[in-house]
Amino acid sequence: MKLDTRRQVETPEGLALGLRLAGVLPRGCALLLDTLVRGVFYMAVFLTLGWFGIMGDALITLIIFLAEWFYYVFFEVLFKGVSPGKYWVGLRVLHDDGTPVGWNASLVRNFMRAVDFLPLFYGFGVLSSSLSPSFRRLGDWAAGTVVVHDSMRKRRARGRRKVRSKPRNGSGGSVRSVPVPLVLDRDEQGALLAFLQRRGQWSQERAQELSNLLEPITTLSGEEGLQRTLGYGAWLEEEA
Amino acid sequence: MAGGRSLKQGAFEAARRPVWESFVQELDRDSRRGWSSRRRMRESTQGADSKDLPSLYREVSRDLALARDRAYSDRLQEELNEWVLRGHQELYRAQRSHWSDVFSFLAFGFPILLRQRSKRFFFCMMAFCIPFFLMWWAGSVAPEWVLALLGEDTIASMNEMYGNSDGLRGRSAERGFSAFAFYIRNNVGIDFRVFAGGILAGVGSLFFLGFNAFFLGAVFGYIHMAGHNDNFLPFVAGHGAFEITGLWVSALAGLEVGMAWISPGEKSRRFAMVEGARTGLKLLGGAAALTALAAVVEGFWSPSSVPVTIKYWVGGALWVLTALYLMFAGRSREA
Repeated sequence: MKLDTRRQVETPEGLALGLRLAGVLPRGCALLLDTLVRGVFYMAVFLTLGWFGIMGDALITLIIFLAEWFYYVFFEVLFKGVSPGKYWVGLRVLHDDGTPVGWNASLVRNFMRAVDFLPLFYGFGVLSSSLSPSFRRLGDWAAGTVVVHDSMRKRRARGRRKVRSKPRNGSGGSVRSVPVPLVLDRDEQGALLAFLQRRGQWSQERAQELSNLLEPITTLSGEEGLQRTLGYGAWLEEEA
Repeated sequence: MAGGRSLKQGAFEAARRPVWESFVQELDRDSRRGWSSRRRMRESTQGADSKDLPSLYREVSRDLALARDRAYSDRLQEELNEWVLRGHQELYRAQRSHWSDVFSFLAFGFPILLRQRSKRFFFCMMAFCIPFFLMWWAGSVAPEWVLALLGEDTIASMNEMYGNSDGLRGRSAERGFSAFAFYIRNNVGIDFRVFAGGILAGVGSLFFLGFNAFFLGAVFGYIHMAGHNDNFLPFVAGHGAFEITGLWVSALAGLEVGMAWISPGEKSRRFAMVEGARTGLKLLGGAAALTALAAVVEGFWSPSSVPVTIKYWVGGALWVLTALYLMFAGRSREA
């Protein structure tokens, strides 16, 4: 778990929530997309207001000012921490206690972009978030925010298909549940359950290879060992 | 309790899934309502059975705790973790402030906040004034400094603007608005940058402040050298008070972040910085308001063809007004 980029946050219910922090690369992609969106927006503004003489130019200047400083703030506050670029990449800004980002924090973190993007290509921002354990750029430090993978939405699209509707039992046939012959601690139980549930993600050979590790317990190897191991998982999963 | 009896994961899931599904439905309904979600609490629930979001949230929270405690599979834990996370975000969103808060902040909150930091504010003032007057003075004694700092393009455009007496006067309202827009983008943008510089231990703020002071001083110095004083000084007299004060306050706002980082006192450095940034942001709000006001003056009043003496008097009066506002507004409310 230590290799995981998770961050634990305690809720008022006394529960530790896990946030999956986003690193430099996905955030960079979101940034590029957002820059692109703004570029298109600027073009649209120029092409429409550009026809209206001095007043049009003045409005363009004001709109650019607003977009320069408040583009992210607008989206982050009104859409619960998601700007268009973050939406496509699947990211979300949160306060570091897991609550959705508010006006204050969003203003601070986005004004600080003026420093984060120095000296070139968000140099300070990249440096800061690479050095920080929770990938914070300078603006995130000052605002007390983190950027997390918005796994919820991604999962709804992709995971439902892959994780939930996978064949529950290894090789097509139904798994006969087998009582586990020894007392397992929680990690061991979790490992067996995870094995059962992630079964669909491996090839037959890999699954057998993994279950062969349990040969001292199952006393079986190959396909039979796999079925036995899955049986243990099924036994743990079903009602006693 | 449904979750209590069935210890096996399969049974637990089967028993609890209906609750999770209705929680998710409730969440989806809620986020679709989105903009008017503040009304949520007051709305009555539709059916007699349907539970409200907070109590469903507590149930799902408990299920997550159970799932962890009983070491159910990662897949289930993760799924529950995500539902709870979403619920958490839905329920614990920040309070919104009202427009009346903005007005009361500008009327007395801002000057009070500033006076609590008067020493630091004077420091920012000095950090601006010393380079500024130095460069202005350099206009008469060391013109090569001024020329080197400004560069040819700036000098050319300055000659164009202030070289003759009607370069600025008698702008139409349209031109006034376009000037206003330009000053907003430019000057408020400078305020924001000066504030952002505070994250670099305050050094960035002071650097931007000093740089602007040197540059502005050089402009004054050059105007003096070129003998355009009579066109230039009446023009800048009006908006100077608001604009320059706004700049000082933004530097103060930046220092608020920087100093919180340098000397967090009894708080943790991270917490101190977040708090400093919040205070800094308030100060920056005041600074931006001042600078925006300056842009109005600069766009519409400064180029007007009012007699020069009146412009000087108004300029002086605005300085006095600004000083009085910052020194005395909200005195009676101070603890």
